[in-house]
Amino acid sequence: MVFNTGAALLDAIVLAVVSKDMEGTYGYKITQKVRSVIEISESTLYPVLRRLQKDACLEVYDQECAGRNRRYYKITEQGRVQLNLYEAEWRKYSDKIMGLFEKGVVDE
Amino acid sequence: MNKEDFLKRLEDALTDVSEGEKAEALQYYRDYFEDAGPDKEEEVLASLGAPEEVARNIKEEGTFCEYTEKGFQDGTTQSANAVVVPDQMSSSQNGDQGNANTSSSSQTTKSSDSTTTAVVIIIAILTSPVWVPILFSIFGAILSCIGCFIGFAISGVVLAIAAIITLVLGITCLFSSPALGAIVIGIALILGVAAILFVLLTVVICKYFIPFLVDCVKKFWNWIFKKKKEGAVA
Repeated sequence: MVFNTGAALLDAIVLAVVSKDMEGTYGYKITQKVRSVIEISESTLYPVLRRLQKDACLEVYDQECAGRNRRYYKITEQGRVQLNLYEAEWRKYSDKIMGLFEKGVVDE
Repeated sequence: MNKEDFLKRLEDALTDVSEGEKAEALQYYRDYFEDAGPDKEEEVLASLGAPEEVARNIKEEGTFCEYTEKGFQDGTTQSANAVVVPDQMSSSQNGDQGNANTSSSSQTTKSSDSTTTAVVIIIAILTSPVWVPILFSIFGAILSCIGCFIGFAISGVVLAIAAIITLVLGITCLFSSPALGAIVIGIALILGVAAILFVLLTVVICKYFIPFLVDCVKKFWNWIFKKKKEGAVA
């Protein structure tokens, strides 16, 4: 992709992906979903998940699956608040840029 | 290189990382391989790249610093304000974000509150030779007022009883010697009037003066409290 994905946008995408699964979801699935939207290396996501977990935006729990424990990630209330903020900010940001592209409108 | 090699090399590469952090990361990548399935192992290995690179990623982004719009930031300061809310965002926010903002701002005031509270307590202790006697004298004055009221009330009751007894005595005297009886009844009536006066005084005190006093104490308390609050805010 031509455009860089900053830390905030990556956080927003990960929070959005995790929030879609009410019961929570696991690392591999999150990575695949995120990779279907933006190009990132498979090793990028672990630090992001870990940070979001430390910031209390995500919570983790282990659940038995096929004879082993699988770690699940679930969005917290704080995570939802943060995601709402990201969504609103992204809308503002993209609207401005689309306004500029399509109509040449610049808000001042 | 297979999955186990990768995990072993990752473990070795995660040198200056805490045991807990290391275990978390290894668990994550073990899970990752398991979830991808054995037939995708090669693909995942190729995509993940060198374990040392993955380890560096974990160390830099996970614990020490991370890349943001403001450049590299120290991981420790980052975690202090867990949820980053840039200032310019606060101008246009919906309800949920408003909550987030107020919660973060209340946290900051809380921390400054505790320091000012400590200062207020220290000042209170240092100035205690002044305000403790004042407080005690106010308390004493209130107590003596209450004592006075009780005295009035008891006087009223006692006078009323005395008036009734005297009245009965006067009426009985009236038969043996009418003049003495009249005098005694007159005294009884005077006592009765005095009793009524005291009772009225007590009623007036209970009805108006005590609420007034309570109000004064309340106002005084609020005044002190407000001052403390203002001091804490400043």
